[in-house]
Amino acid sequence: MNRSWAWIIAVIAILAIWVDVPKHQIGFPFDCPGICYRLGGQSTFIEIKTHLGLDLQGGTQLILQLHPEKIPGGTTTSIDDLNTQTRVVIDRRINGLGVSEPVIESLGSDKVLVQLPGISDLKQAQDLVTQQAFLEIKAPDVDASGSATGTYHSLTPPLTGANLKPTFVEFQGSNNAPVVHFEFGAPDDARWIQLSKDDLNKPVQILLDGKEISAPVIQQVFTSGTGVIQGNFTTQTAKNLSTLLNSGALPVPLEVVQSSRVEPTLGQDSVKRSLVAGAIGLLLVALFMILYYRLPGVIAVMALFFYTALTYAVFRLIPVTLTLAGVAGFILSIGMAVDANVLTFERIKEELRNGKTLRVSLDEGRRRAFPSILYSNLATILTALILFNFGTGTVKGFALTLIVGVVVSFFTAVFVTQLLLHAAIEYSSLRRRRLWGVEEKPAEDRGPTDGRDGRATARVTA
Amino acid sequence: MLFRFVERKFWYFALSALLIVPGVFFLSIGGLKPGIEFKGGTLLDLRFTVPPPAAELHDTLTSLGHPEAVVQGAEGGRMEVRTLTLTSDQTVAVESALKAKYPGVYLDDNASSVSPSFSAELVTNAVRSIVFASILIVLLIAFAFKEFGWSAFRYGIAAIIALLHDALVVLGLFAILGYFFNIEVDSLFVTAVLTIIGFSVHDTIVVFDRIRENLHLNRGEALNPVINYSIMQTLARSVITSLTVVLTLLALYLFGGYSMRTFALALVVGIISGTYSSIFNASQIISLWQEIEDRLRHRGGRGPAGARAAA
Repeated sequence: MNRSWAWIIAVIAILAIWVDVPKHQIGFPFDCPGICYRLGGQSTFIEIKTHLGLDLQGGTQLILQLHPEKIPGGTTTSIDDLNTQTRVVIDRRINGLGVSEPVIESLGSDKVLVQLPGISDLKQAQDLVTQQAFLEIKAPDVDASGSATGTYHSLTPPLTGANLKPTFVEFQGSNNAPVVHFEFGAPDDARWIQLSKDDLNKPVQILLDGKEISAPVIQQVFTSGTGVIQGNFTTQTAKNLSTLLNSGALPVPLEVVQSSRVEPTLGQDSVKRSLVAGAIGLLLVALFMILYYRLPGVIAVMALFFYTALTYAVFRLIPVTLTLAGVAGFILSIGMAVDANVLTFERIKEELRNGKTLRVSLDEGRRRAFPSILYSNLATILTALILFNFGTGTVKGFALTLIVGVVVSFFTAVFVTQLLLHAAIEYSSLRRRRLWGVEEKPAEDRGPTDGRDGRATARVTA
Repeated sequence: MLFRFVERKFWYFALSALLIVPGVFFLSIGGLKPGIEFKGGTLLDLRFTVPPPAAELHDTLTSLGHPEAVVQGAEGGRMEVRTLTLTSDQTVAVESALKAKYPGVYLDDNASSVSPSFSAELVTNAVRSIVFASILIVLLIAFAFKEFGWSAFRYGIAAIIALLHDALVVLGLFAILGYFFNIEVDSLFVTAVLTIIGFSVHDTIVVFDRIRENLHLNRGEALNPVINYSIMQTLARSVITSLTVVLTLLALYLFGGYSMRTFALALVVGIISGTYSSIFNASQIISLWQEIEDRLRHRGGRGPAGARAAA
């Protein structure tokens, strides 16, 4: 452990605490609630805040009425099937928005109930779930001379967004304007290429829900089913459009019949009580560690503070939406952070009892505890990664907090605790063996040592 | 003084069986009751003049025979209550009972049926992921213990057996609770089982790593005594680590809100089981495996039995 590590860890700690502190309480010295920078005309603003799930914080509830009678040309699909399809599309849109773990239920067969965690902008939430997102591309009408008249007609059958591959936002031109990149899947890609041949040097109209977004002029014959939608977007509106297109169009027009704020599903009072309970639990753990391990215990508690601050900062930065399931992942990772320290301290004690010096014991303790810590953490991360990949909803949230927690706990146990331990033995007053939880003099009767020291220490421990 | 962890292994296996077999029985007769999140039910939109705390309304509904009710407050004095599917008679009964206790309460709109908010997909996906993860964990442990050659795989498999043990203890307990007390499982329960699985593997690997190290330091030593003192050496750590986690969870169980009780209970039981299986089951499986192998080898007349460690 050299000096530069100490600086790196100190800087990380300060940054973590800066991220953790609610920004509305201190604006100074940065008058911005988050990370803001301005570089050559581009400004970015990322608000840092804790995202709490529906179960802990409550959120916005929308009740949507399905209107199958408003489907142009009517429909033969049953109301139950329409309801299911609607819920799938809304689920995709909300996940695309990054809001985690919504509640989406059917209410009877002609209504859908949606709850979104902590969305303050009701208008935005309503637009997101009610917008039909029906994309159509129309060909220009031509007069007798073959030039465009400025009006458009649908192709037969209409060329729609039903067959799009995943779209994405890209930046084009000298002013880096955001555009939405799309690509038709077969067989619409062939029709798109044909359209560019038929209407070369004429405009085509791109419409969303019957409104024109843009009418670009085709300047060359396309060679693939790709294209872009330009339309005076901001990065955000371009992203929203991309999310809508990727989620597919709603199968039926929706109307918001009720919108209101709702309390946490776990109950406001229940959440409050549980937070206090969690704090009591952590305090007990800290107390126990200090009483049992003395000086290393104090160091472990300091490392745990660092751990908590850093993990919480990562949660706020990613951002991770914290639900009770996420908190479970967090508690588990705290347990593992404590465990890594306990493993190291037990090894250090063993080395000290074998008559080694403090410095040698610290290094040996770390070296010999390391494989256990590494492989047990790897097994947990492996499981969490698989759960994150294949899991849905609650399980995904749990896996994400667990991954973050275990990675940070590994870093803390291996680097921060070691650094603090080595810093402590620089002070002669902190080098007393009693402070490290072993008797002042090494045990005289240690039995056979080399090669069998494991058994000998077992006797001492027992 | 050495505690005889290995020699008494059949007693420990018997204790585990005693805990697991009744649970598995109630699991197989469908004791595990899926909650509203998985089954859907009825949504009652209640309007109060003065809304009571969610916990109080939940208690009231429990006394009316609906312990499964999920209560969620909303603005404007509204409380949304989700229960299992109610007939219209039952709805009327609940409404009038509530009117007696909270004057002025009325049911806005009619009670409507709600679909499950979590699909069965959540559970099947989670189970599939665990199977996949288990295979990778076996490979990871086999890699970590590669100095033992093919025997390394038995460590991985023993860790997975211990994992199954802990999952079955908790699933079994909730099947029994579900059968006798109608306690239901929700998505939080799924998370709790996942947490327990993570903890179980973590705990087992630490004990196994000590066995690995001691076998390495004491070449030629028989396996059973090495296992005995390896468990002895990791005992303090196993107990302390579990204790810290159980401490936090116990605080949550005793002082936390009503909605977190089952969750905390599942975790406490699972963590204790995980500690038990890593001390009293996992290494004993390795020992048993070695003994069976030695016996088979002895019968086949190839070399002396029991003298060598797993290496």
